[in-house]
Amino acid sequence: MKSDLYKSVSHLMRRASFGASHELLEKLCAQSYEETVEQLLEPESQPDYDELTFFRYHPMAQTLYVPRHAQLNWLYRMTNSQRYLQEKMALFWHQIFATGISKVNRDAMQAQIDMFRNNGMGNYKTLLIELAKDPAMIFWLDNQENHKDEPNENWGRELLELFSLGVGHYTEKDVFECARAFTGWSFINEYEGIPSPPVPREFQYYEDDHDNGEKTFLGHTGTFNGEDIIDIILKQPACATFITRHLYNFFVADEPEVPKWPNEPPRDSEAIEYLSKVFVESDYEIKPVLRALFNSDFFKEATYQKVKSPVEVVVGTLKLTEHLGGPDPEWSLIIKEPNSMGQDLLDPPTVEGWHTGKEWINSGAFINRVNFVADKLKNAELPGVKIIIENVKQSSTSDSPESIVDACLEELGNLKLEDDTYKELIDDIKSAEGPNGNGSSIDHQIANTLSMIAGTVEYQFC
Amino acid sequence: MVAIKNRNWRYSHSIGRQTAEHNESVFGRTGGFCYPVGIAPSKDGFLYVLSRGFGYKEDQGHEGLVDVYMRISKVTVDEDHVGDIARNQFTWPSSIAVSKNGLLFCSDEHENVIKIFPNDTITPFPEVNFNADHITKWGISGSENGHLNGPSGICFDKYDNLLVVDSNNNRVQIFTDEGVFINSWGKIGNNKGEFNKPWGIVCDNNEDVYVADWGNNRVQKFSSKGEHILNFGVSNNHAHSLNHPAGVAVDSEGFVYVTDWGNKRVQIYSSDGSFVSSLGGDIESINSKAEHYVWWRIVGNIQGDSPETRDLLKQTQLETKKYHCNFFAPTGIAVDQNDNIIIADDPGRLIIYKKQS
Repeated sequence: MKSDLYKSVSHLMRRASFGASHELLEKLCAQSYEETVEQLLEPESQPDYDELTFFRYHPMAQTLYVPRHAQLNWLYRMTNSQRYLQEKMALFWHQIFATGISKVNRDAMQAQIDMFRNNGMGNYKTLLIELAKDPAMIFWLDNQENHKDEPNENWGRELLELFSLGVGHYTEKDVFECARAFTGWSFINEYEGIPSPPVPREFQYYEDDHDNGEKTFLGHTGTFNGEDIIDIILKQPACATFITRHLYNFFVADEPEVPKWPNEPPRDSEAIEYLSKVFVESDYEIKPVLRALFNSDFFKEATYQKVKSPVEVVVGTLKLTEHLGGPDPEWSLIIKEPNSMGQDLLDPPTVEGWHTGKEWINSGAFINRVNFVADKLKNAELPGVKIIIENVKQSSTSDSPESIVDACLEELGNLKLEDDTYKELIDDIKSAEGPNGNGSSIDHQIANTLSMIAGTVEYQFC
Repeated sequence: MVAIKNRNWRYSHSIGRQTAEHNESVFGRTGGFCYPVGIAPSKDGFLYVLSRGFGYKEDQGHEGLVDVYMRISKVTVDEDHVGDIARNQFTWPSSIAVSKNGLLFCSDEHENVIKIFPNDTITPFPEVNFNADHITKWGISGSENGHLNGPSGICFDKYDNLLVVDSNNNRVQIFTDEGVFINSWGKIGNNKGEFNKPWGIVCDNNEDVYVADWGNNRVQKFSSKGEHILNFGVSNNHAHSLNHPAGVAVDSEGFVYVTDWGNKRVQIYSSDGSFVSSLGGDIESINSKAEHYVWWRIVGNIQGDSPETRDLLKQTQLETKKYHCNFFAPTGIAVDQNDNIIIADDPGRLIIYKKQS
């Protein structure tokens, strides 16, 4: 039987990371839950992943010849980095500040993700300023076309609607004034003078293209530049609420889709209020909010309230089964998996990012995620599966089908199944004529049960 | 241009671009490579270039999983396409060497084997000739003497024995060309004679052996029996040092060339390990035909064929020269019989330097 601490830390690692191997969970159980939270909040205290070894064996990931190589880079890093929360936060910001490789060149996209790594757990104001200066974002939202004499509202609108306040907390006039404040915020084109789409290289502020005129924005008047606009945004109560609701949605429990937020209250208003208060009182530092979130009762109690995203399914499965813990040709196949499940990493469908929650499993992609996990869990040769099988054999109180299923469910995270589903698993083991046939070894029977659990609706949650 | 002891190294030209094929266009024929990792000059003037490919194979139905980029390209120092050999015949090809009788030996660091191919079974793009497979292959996965775990750099000694960098076993092993184990040396570590994921290897005219000790940021020199002679490349002076060296080659005068992968340059040392010079930063352009072809596809698609488009192409070519003057990720390196220094650079070109008196 797993200890309560083991179960709590498993839950924490499923959310703050992409899950963890049994070895790592056992190691983390040598310290308190709170100490593990602190460890996650200090990624620099953990070794960085070995990028050079990765590039040696996967050279295409270094030169990023096609988009898939950038995806490979990140998926590998998510799986192998020991800076767990740093990678998870990079994914969090990628989903909110959704920028796509379909338009932006790969180097700029990779630089944006690096920026999320560097700033994603720091100060939100700093992050917004860096985002406004980020060449990939500027190109994605056409701010290089936002000129003094001809403002382009794309960036200004999304900054308010999707990146900070949400619909209903600003006017069309505010959007226009916001756009004016960001005129001249552009980039240097890597291939300046060459007749091809721009390749944004680095931020460039063009003073002579900036509108220095007076602006009135959210009730404030002045000759605002971009940073002034961000200061004013942070003074709006809606800002902290909007971002903490995103954090709640990503780490605690699925919220409705963002467009519904103006009309639907949060599922836990008290939690959002609490997190918002921490956020504002810490002057928009992100770490204190994360600390408050992970240590809260509402987080600890929210097991299996979130549908795993495809990236979480893939990386989590690789970690659980301890598969591909280093360079391997199979990575070239793995990188296609999130896309087959509906999440093309680095290429969100729109500027709104992906629709999350049950939409992940309400599509034809559901079968792909089930097949992927089932294939891995029934491979009794994978190191992580071997450990699970041994644990199941040791923890089963008897050879009864019920005992085996219960042990499997506990190994996969203390899952609770619907009665009918549970019975099907029992019947499969009991059935001499079942899909496994007679004579199947106990190891293979356990592996098969694990793979069947992967196909349940309950397993899609984390 | 750099000069030392009456020797100059001058950038000559480059050949190839990143491609799986060769193309005929208004600018002539262009071919190339895809993540070239190994180069082996032959006595009859050809270069055999081993491309690692993109590392992912597409399902081609009845032909199975195929990576059309992965292959041995037969080229010359001036011509980027003669023909392709052994397309899709590897998992992780790493290094190539030509035996005295002209056979092509290739290491595969995932399959843990050495595969041997004839040098003339050309497979036209995009065909994958499963029937013209390797003549033979040998190698057993493991860590015992004669077993392999991640074979990377390979080279022949003067007796036509094959020296194999057994990278994940952190040692060098010597085999006959039929795979019979002869000798080995090395273990993991950073002391003399120890390795950390070594990569490239070469034998000089004195039968001494140089190994690019990748993880230890140095080159180690050994006698043919594996006796440690010296280390070089570790220096507090960045200009003289090595950062994860990949390949190593020696010319007729004993100059040692090292692809300084982590620093994106090539370092030149004398045979006693003293630093001589660096190469890089002076590459004028990618191959002009290839350059033109690439931009032709972009510009031509946008604006169509017209005198204006062609003028634009000329301007584009001039502009792009400045973007390719450095190495991206130099890996394999070789010196041919004319002392041309040939460097494989990702994602798909060979850079040629010439030594002059």
